[in-house]
Amino acid sequence: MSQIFSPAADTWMRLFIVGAASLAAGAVVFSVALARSDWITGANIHPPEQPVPFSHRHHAGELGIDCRYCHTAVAEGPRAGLPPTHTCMTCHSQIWTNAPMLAPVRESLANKAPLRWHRVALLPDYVYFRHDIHIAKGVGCVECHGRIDTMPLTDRAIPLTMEFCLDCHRNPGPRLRPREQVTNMDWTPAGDRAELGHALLRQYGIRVGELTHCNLCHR
Amino acid sequence: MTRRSPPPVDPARLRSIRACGSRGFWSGLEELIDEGGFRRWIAGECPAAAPFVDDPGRRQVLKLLGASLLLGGLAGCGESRSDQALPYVNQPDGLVPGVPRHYATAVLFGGHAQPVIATTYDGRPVKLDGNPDHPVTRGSSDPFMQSAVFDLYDPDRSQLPRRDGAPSTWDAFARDLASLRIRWRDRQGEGLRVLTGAVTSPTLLRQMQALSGAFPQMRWHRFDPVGMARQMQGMAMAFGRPATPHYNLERCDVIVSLSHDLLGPGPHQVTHAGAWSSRRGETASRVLLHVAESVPSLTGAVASTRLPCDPSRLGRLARAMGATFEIPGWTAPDLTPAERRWLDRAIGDLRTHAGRSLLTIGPCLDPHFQALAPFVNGQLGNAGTTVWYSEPIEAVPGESETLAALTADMAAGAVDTLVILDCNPAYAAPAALEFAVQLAKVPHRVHAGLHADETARLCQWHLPLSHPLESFGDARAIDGQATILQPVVAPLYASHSLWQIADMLLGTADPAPDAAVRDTWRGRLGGDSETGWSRALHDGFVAGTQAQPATLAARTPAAPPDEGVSDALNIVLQPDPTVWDGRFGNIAWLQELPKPLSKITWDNVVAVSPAIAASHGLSNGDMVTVTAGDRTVHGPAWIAAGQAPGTVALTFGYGRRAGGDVAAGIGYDAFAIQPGPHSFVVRGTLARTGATYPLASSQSHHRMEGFDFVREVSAAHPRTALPKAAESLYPDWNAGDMPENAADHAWGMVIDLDQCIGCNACIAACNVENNVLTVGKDQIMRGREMLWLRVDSYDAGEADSPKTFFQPVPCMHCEKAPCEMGCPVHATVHSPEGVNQQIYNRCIGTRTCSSYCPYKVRRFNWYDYRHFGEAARAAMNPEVTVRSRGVMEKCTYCTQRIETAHVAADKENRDLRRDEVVTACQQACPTTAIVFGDLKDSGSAVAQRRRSGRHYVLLEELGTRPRTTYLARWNDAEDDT
Repeated sequence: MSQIFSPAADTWMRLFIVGAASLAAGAVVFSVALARSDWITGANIHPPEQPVPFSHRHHAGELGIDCRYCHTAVAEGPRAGLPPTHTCMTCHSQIWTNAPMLAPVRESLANKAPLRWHRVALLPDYVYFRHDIHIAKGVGCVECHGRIDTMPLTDRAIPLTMEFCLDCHRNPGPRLRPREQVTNMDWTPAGDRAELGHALLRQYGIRVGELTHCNLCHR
Repeated sequence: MTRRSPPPVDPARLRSIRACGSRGFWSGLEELIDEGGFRRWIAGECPAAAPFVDDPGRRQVLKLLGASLLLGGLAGCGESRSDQALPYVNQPDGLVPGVPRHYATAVLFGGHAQPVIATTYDGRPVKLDGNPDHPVTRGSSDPFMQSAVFDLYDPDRSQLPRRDGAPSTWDAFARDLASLRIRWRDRQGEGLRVLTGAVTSPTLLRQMQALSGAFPQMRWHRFDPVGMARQMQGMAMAFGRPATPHYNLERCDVIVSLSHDLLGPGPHQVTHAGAWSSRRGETASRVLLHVAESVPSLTGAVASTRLPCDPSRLGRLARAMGATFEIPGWTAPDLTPAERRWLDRAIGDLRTHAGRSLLTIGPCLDPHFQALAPFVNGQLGNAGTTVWYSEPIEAVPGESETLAALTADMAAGAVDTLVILDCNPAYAAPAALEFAVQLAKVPHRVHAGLHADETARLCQWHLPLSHPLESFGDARAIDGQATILQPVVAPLYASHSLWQIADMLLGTADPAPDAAVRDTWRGRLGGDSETGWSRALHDGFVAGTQAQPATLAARTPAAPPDEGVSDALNIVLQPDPTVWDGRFGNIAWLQELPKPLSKITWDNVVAVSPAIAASHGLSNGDMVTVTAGDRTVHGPAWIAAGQAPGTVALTFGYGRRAGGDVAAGIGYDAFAIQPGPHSFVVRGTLARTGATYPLASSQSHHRMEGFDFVREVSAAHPRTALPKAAESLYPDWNAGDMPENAADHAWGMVIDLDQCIGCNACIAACNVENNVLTVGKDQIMRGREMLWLRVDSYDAGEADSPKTFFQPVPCMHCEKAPCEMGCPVHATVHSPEGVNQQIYNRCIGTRTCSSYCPYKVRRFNWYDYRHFGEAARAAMNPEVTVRSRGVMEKCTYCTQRIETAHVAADKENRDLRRDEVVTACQQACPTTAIVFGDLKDSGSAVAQRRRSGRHYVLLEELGTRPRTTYLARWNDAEDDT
């Protein structure tokens, strides 16, 4: 009776097992990496096309206009709110009145038709995020939105994944700052940030341990 | 096809039945009789197990398995979402995007204002609740008020004017109207008739007076198919002129009702239920309620003693009562021993508590009998304390201003132009009047309504009416207090309000929305007019406009006519508890709201007494023909436990022929058998046709299995039984995991069965608050109803005269929740405060949780039920996810309200205030039966209730430690036996 398997069969078998195992492991690694990649989270990908190439670097950075001048509702409601056309025109009825770049804004005012912006920090529908409570508890804009004041065109600088949210909800202390520094983009604490965090947790009465249950954000 | 309805009840067994089950409660006649067939049916059918395919073979199973695996991945694919953001051009002052705003206004029900606070998000109203500052609602509501937002966003609403059915414009109508007005002027208004529903609006009244001033021969007719007309006739007999009775139920020690459904659906329900419940529950001075009625009602269900009594015999009871009070001409007729016993006790209690008692007589009795109540109440000294009378709240039509008078004039050719405003006589007029036939004889016909309904189809002009939530207007609530309606949203369509159209009839070309109302109230609001106007809008009522007591003395009632003896059946005609007279028929949420007693959805039935079922061999769902004179209706029979032996009950509101895709084509039209306006009892016969009809009742989806879901306490036994010392099925907590150690608050709910009247307001409110979708009749028959909160009704005793119990069952939020152990993906977990959470975006739809749930409160989205039309999307609460196919859902204790309250408190750096969080069901409940709050705060209402001796836990022996618990009902009858 002749041999069924050639002398190389063992080797092939070993190669196959190793190959299959590494493929399976690779698939896991790949999918985990993919889920965190910029391609999925949309962070650091080129900014979306907007009706007007609005520059936060110019307005917030160079001119130093406070965030709340335009995003008025940020401390009062769940949404920060985009500025109504009238807000743009408070200045642009005086300066750059004929800039072609601003034609959509003038048309919006003339036709009473809203500007159609594309959201940059877009959360899934099943996430019920509120700006007001984060502002009230001293979470700076920069913590989630990144250095908006350096962006010529606005982009998502931080992947707004659930992991990102939970990191902070589990241990909010290190992300807190004095309320008056919330909109300050380049604030750094004078002393030890951890120590300050502990103090602020107490001062703000933050319910640590109750901030990670599902219904807080999903309902 | 598998059978979707329970097996038929053997009628022969209905006669001599006694209760079965450990404590004598039963959830349906099928269970009471328990032939084994029902047991097998429910075991095989029990909701989630309803089979898709009959007898699947092995290959079929494998094929389906493979297909579902393949398609499973596709379930994640949905329409991609817009990432657009549209800011205002000019943002209104004070508006914060995403923060709800609240406005006081009112919606209309039978012409009466139901004062509400409307919650709007970004300019769209999504929720209505009773105005807490208004004495009529005190913050609570009823199913009609809750569902009014769905009426506003109804995709079938009429959207533009139509002439002869073809789309037209308001300008074209204005031109036609101008030439009509010349015609009216030339003829002094002769032949001009206006027909409206019941009217309490001071502005419309003024406008109609102005119209009659401009065209003196014009006549204004009013018609409400249900309304208060019969009551007014009774009052007119008693006082010589119409009057509105007002009941102070909170002052009553004893209430005796002859077929008057005080607590039943209608404009009075919220007020009456609130006042009645203040004398129930923990209070020491309980109200005794004696009810004699032919058709089981909510009032009868909560009565201390209830006598089922045919309408023909109700007259005898009244006569006997008149004889007892020695009224000339009222002679004592023969009564059965049961009737005599009930009457003696009722009269005895009325007399013992004279001055604090109340006799009411319902509109199904002849006005002669109704006139007895004011007289007796006067004799007993009740007038002025438990009941008082005022000038009529609504504009009562005179003899020549009724629908009957109008139809007679139309038949005689005396009507030239008929303007029908917000009223649908082509459907809701009794068939005997032949309204549609006579309407064809009128040369000029104009109709204005929310829908292009039956009447619209017969008119040359149909005008779309604005919803009250889109209108400036006014109306009086049942206490007479006027509310100025303010729009909470701009009209969605090219519609005008009732008051604008009335102004157009008066000759204004393009009336401003608020012009008419401002004219009415100018100078009458105190202060300078703008301040007064703002205050009235802000408060939601005009202070000081309540009805004032009128000094009226009841005459000695004349001897009532003898109604004779007849073997014919009594056919009682009633408004439907969820669609009323058909005006709410196109609201799917109301169609799917189970009828309070039968739990039937999406249909009306011919309710027959157990005795009739036995004598005619009827089972639930058997088609029957009901004949009265030469008129018939066909409908499915339903055996109603507790219905008087010779009584058949029909309900209005179904059998619609137009008026929307939801309303049209379901049920039978009871108006077809009505002999005349406001005639609610006819004599007739009933015959079985041999056909059967599937009915969707949600009650028999759950069986009692001998458990004591509802409990009673009495004076002799004022405490519920102590819990059985059964071992919990579930492991003990580690000390650190104990829910009471996890957070500062522990949410819980206690429902007082002694106060629940089964009105369904809680379910309707829950639907609106939590975006609970409708699933349709077919799905309900498969046991897939979506309601997060169900109100079970149980009966105890004999089928002929049972005692009825209501039990609202939301999620129990078990501390040791079986569902959480079952979920393979942790899609249902606990919050530190003890809320059993359901995470939709994590759920993969295995339904294990539902099969583990002993209370059967979890609901699964078998299909995508979100096909409710573009307009209705605006009705969804933005704070709650609209669930898609394949996910489980259930009561969340209104978790969005808890989180909103937490955010408000945390922003102010304070703790939650006591009872700050109010769930939607609790807010709506007119009787405060539902209380929600923090169990850790010993002063909270819910913690106080937990200490009551009546407190008990549903299925406590399972050891699930529910956070939702109950208070047992008091058994009044046992007090004195």
